[in-house]
Amino acid sequence: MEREEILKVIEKHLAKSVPGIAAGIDPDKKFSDYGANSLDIVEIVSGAMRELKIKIPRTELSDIANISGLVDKFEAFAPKVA
Amino acid sequence: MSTVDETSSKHLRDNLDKYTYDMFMMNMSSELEEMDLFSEWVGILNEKNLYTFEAVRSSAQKTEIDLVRQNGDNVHIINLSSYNYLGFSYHPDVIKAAQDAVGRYGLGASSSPVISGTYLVHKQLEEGLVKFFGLPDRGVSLFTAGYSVNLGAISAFIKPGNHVVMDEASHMSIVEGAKLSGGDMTYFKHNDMAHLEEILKKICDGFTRVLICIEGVYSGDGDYGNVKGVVELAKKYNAYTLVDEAHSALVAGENGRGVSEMQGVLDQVDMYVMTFSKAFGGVGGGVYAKKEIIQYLNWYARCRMFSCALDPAVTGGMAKAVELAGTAMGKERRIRIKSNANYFRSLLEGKVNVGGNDSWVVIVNFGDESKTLHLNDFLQRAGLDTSIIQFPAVPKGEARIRMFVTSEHTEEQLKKAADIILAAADKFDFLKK
Repeated sequence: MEREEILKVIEKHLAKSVPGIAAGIDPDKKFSDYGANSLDIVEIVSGAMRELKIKIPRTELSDIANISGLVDKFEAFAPKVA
Repeated sequence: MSTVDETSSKHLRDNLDKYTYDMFMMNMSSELEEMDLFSEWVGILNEKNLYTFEAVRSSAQKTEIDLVRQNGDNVHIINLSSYNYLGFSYHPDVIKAAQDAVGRYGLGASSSPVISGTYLVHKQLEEGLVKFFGLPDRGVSLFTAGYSVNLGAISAFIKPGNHVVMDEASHMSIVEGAKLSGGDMTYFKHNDMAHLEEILKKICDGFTRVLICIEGVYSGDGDYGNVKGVVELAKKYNAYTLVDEAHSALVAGENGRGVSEMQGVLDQVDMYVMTFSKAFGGVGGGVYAKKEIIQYLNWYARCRMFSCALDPAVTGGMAKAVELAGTAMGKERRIRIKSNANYFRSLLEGKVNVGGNDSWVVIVNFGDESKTLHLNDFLQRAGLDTSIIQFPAVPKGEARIRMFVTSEHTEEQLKKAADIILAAADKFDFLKK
């Protein structure tokens, strides 16, 4: 799965939680830079997991520094294509 | 059958301290995995004698009581975890008024307040509050929960296309009210007026309705909101204000009219929110605002319109509490809660990190949330009940012990409580170096 595709899904769920976000988010920023609070972040991450059908173990999520860090986790836990 | 697989179960057991509230909110499949996992987490904590939450009280929220923990353990504690700031929940006159009301009106209101659930006792509470706060052009809208007040008032006042601007430390009920409204949402840095003005400059265009939401006392930090600063900016930019005085109504200000009174701007606040589970000693909440706003909220705050009215007994008791708050005894308790809080803080200052708080909500920061379970267990067993908060209620790495000092605590109890905190700080390594 391409990083761009993952980022688009994350952006969609960020916009759901924090209305009014312009398209083309900066992956180097934190969710909080876009006005998302900690519970919004839970919704964004779980929404993206469901849509991408990629399960990231719970404790893996605690050390994510920015949006790019979450994309990395999705890449790491995406089912490997044979 | 549990959906928790062996690997997850083992991970949970090995990392009990690392699991925080938010982790059990993740729903990653159609199975009820997060509920099963949470249930297992609670089970393990009870097994290890570490589950300190939901401990049962079998008496009123007095300053020293017995608790029974979920695993059956009995502990005797100094109570710094209840919001009963002025001790009104167990004042004999309040209890008598509640008994009289239940005798006259029965148990429940049996209807929505806008249909047939408004009783004489509700009008008495509303009138008592209008008299107490002293502005005759104002009215009160009553709700069955403090949470519902913000949910209902914000979502009735703000429509899609309008804007809610909130202090970043705002209570979840303000955030959820803003979300429910469908309006745009922006946070400003905690108590930072320059940041708030920067935001208002961008969004206040003369067409967009803007509501600024703040609190009188921030319960996570124990500090006062800058109500005066916010009111001035709201005037300058033609915005409206909602001040949640949950932890300050009846307590702050010379006459108990809150931080808005303390800072001299009560008459300029558009919606003044109070929560009756705090100093009122009951349950529910209300908004104090101009009569036109109140009439509208009564009908358009949907969680009010579609809920049964406040129960008569509690309403009767709270009407008495408001009356008492306006007497010399009320004033004396207000003076005492402040001197108690100052005394308690003086026992801790310089030894642990009490932050910049100066209200009756006394905070001790211990930082690392992985200490929470063992720390809370230690405090309870040593004889002190507090309200620990951690991520996601506060930022990561900023976990804190939150204590609600009341007018009824004795110096002896506060001294003992401070000694327990200092012993915990030594054991869990958060003494000031």
